[in-house]
Amino acid sequence: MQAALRASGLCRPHTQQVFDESMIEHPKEGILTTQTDHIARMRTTLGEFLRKQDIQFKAEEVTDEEKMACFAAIDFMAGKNV
Amino acid sequence: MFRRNRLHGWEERLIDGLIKVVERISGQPETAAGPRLKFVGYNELLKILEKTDCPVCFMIRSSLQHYLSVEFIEELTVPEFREPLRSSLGYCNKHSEYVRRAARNPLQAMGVAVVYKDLLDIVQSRLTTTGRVGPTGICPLCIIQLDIESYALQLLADYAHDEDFQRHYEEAQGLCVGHLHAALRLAQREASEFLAQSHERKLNRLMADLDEFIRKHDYRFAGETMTEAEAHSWQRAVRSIVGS
Repeated sequence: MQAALRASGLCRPHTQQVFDESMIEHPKEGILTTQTDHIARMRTTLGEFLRKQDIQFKAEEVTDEEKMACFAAIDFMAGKNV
Repeated sequence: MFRRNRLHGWEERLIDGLIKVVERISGQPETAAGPRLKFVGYNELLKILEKTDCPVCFMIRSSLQHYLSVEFIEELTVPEFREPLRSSLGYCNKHSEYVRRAARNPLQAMGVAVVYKDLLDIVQSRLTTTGRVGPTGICPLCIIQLDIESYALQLLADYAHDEDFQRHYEEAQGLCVGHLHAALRLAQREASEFLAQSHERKLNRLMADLDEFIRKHDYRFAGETMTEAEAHSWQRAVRSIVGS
């Protein structure tokens, strides 16, 4: 479970659900760490995507992960549209 | 034609004055059967009726797409655009599909990235301080959708008694069930009778196409050619029930 969480993280609505509904403190702490790491990663990738849109850094190649950063952020904030 | 109950006296007088001026220019006086003047919205509606979807669903979809395509480029630094988004923590699950579509365009992707980077910051900070990452506001597109929906339904209800409109509507796909229900509540008796009867005729045609679609899947009739209307009948049936 922890490994799965570390890989892709929870979306914001499900993070909210876990924090609102879970009575046990221990899993919350684990999820908090995983989620803050997950958000920080997304934020960095999105930041890189934005930086490379600047004319000064236009020559730097935008990686596939950076190209998908917007979609990852949208999916995280609203939950994936299944 | 207008929702006059929402207008102030001076606005009503101004509109009356404008109608008289346009009538004088166009030579189309207001008759006892109702005003003959038709506005931009009406022509828009006729064009939309030619599309395959429910006209109200179509107006919502195209307006929201247009709204986002402008906002993510031109309104990025406008507080009236950003503040509601910060409290709703972005768009809801349903409307995020419009944002995904916007993000496929390189120009709008920049705007999406700026907005969502800011939102990630907010969630990150709330997560580490209060642990509450729920929204405090409503998705802005949900609010806009309600406005567009009520405008489109009112437009439809206002013109549904008009012969020219009825001719166009008969040839069109018609409303989805949800919007038909809403339009019937808004329209006056004559108009709502037309909408209901027209929908019944469309439904009969759709059911006949569906029957043929199913029949022609039987190996005994598999050699018969399927018309385009029959081939797409199952998709039309889904759209007719849930909207598009």
